[in-house]
Amino acid sequence: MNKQIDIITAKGDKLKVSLSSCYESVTDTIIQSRHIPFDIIEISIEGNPTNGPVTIDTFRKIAKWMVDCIDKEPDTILFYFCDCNTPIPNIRPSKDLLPAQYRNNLFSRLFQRNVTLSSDMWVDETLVFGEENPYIFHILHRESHSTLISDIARELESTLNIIAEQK
Amino acid sequence: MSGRTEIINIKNPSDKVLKILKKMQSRKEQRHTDFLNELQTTNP
Repeated sequence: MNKQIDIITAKGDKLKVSLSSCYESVTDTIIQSRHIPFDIIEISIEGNPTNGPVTIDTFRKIAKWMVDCIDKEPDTILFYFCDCNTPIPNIRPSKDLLPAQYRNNLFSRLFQRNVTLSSDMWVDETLVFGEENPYIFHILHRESHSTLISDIARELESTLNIIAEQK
Repeated sequence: MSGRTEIINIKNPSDKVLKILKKMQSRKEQRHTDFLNELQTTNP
């Protein structure tokens, strides 16, 4: 899958949203052992809303577009790597919440508020690497893929180790 | 959607894994910079 859309906020700022297949090696290894088809799709949202904060209506548009893209793709698992450095636009930095944690929470709320958009049962999953300054992946998957997620986490870690050894 | 939320913690990832995650973060930042440059080009 490789899809992209530009969404314009009510204040006229442009957001670029894309969905693309990724981690094929992770997918292939698990499919071979578990015989359950699935496809990991990476979500990317780029924006620099200078004219005002992104409203819930805009987030709803983003969620609706994503759900439209994946609703007829039963094998899809969505991955979002939460940026841990870039500050959140229009939000005062919080001592208690790191940017990655904020983005992760935002994704949870965004999809939970749009439950009626999809006919499937979806689960929010957070994959956290490290403790102090964690790297966070937000994962959205159907109930039917629940048994795969710990395998994906393990395989992702092992794939990252292999990539590091090759470099 | 069920609204169920689960968390998987990998508390002590290896240094090698952290190195790759750091690169993924850099790639993310680069993508953001590219987007800002693209905006600059289309709306100078």
